[in-house]
Amino acid sequence: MIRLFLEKLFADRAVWALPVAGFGLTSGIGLMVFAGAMYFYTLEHSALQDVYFLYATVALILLVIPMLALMSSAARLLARRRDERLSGLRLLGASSGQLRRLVLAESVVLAGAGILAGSLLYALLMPLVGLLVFAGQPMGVSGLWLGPGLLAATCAVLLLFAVAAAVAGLRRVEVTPLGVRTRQLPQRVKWVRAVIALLAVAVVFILHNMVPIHNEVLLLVVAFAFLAVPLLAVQLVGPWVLKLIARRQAKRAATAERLIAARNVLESPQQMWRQVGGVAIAAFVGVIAGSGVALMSSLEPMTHPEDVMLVGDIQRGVWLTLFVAFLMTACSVGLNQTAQVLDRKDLYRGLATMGLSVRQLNRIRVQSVMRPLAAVLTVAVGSACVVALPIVGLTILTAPLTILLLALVLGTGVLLIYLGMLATRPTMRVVTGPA
Amino acid sequence: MSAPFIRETMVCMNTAPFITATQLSKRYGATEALRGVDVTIHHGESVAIMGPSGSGKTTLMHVLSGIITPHSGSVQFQALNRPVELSTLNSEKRAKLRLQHIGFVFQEGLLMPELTALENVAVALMLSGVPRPAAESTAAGWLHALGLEGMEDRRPGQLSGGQAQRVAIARAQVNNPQIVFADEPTGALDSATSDQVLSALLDSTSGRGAPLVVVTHDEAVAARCSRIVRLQDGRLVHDSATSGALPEGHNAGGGR
Repeated sequence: MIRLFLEKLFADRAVWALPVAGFGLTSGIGLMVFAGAMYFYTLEHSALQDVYFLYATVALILLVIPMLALMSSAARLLARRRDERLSGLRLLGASSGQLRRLVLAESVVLAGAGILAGSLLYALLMPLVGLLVFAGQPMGVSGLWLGPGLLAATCAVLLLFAVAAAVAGLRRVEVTPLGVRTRQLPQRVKWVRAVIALLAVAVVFILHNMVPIHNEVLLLVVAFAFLAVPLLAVQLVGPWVLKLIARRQAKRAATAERLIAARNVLESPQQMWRQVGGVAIAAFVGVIAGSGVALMSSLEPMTHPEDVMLVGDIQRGVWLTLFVAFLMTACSVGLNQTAQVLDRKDLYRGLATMGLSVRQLNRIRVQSVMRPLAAVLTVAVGSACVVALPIVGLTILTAPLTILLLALVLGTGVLLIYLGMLATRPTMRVVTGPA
Repeated sequence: MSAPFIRETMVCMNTAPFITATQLSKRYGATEALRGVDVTIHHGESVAIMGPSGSGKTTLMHVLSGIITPHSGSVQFQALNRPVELSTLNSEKRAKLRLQHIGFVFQEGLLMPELTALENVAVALMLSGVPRPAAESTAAGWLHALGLEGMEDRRPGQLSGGQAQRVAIARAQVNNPQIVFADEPTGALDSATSDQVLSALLDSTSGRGAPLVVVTHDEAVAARCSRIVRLQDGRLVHDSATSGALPEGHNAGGGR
């Protein structure tokens, strides 16, 4: 049965094209990010090697969450194209074990094809990204080339993630002979998340500010935790805050578009947070980076060429990390929204029949993403300010340069995400067009 | 069902046909879905469009409701007692006309899963610019009239098939449309529920003087309508209003 199913897989372009493109985009960006990190890990610069190693690791860690969000969006897109055929097989009497094996086999084939396409994208991007200058020289194509062994290993890890995400997606739905049923009740997000997050932040604050630590390694660990724990706390508390905001918006919504957008978020605050939560990291880093730049500009100008180079590299690295985080979030939004349009194609076609214009339908979808995005940015910027305040002080935090840089970062990010939304419009036009 | 509520929403009637369609033809590539169909729909009547798969019944419904335009022929629609030629309107104008003057009921209900029953109905009014409190109040009236009192806050996933379909009927009626089109409205329901839903649909539409057009395969559904028209290979072959089968070459659907 699996062989028959796979043989027919590539017969219909509607089934394979979008998931392969999704996985291709995800793995292309993933490979490039990993290649960038490897460039710093193997950089031959004796004096600053450890510093580059540390910063590359931090950047890699920061990008893990948007990367996972992107991967799960691609898997969701794959799931939508598969559901109808799965319920057909259920109708014919396939067991859930058979369906699981089938999903596994199909995910390996489609994600594998996507990762191959992603490798090609990575190869195409290398000359462009290679122009970026770090440690006094352009990274170059050779600097970004992972080599066949590492490339194959990274692709294998990406494939593993993709298959895990696809199988996890199947657990969230119930395949019945009459169709694929998703949850009927909104997901619950408990307040206990907020309590855990606040406790974790409090512990780290106490450790950092009040407990004297003399061990150098321990000091580094606590300093890292001082930045990382609030970041993780934002991820934990985010869906809960989003739920509170959306509930208030649903109650007060004066227009149909706002009401539907708020209800859409309440349907699954966690999923919506995952979709745009990568921006929380970027906004968080944006505040720290913006105040860092303002702080440096207020100090005596550096004279040692190595210091000047390092500071320049750190700034470039931060902006690059932010850009990649936003890019991943924009792609994640694009893939998720495409999946949602396909998921609800009958509903959208019905609404268009009733007389709703594609413009109205798109406005509803834009609000469903942009309003939670505003909430995410508010939470992230607020918590980053709390973290940055004791380090840089109020004067630096409210300096025009800090605010300008932050506004620039957030503005670019929001624009990228909006473009991600725009990219889904052709799918909506096709879905609502004449049958 | 609350008859007084439905009577309050009576449409303004006159004696002229509500829809007059003449010589409708529609092709999909080499396939002729409609071949010179003439049909008129009057105020207060319920018309069942029947026929085998591929006979052109859904195409006829789509042309009569302005979802698509015919390749040739004319569809005169009485919007607010003014005749409007649907085939001359662009897609935006037709969409606006559908939103304001036509109600639709689909086989699967097609309710928004994240909204409550009340919100699903109210949103149809809010999209036409009615403020939310007024929209919710009217929506609640329709839900009560259709026997869904106490279910306002339930989401579609928490309703039975028949209840969900009645919410869909309330959504179709809430704008006080001048005509309602239903595409296999009971196709996904068991016979007892189907009977109840059809009663709700007939009472809420024909009961307030608006015409109802139902596309169906089900003879039992058709039998409850005041008129049956049958299509075959894109031609209208029977109209109960003219008391029987139409002669070969005669393709006219008459009035009452």
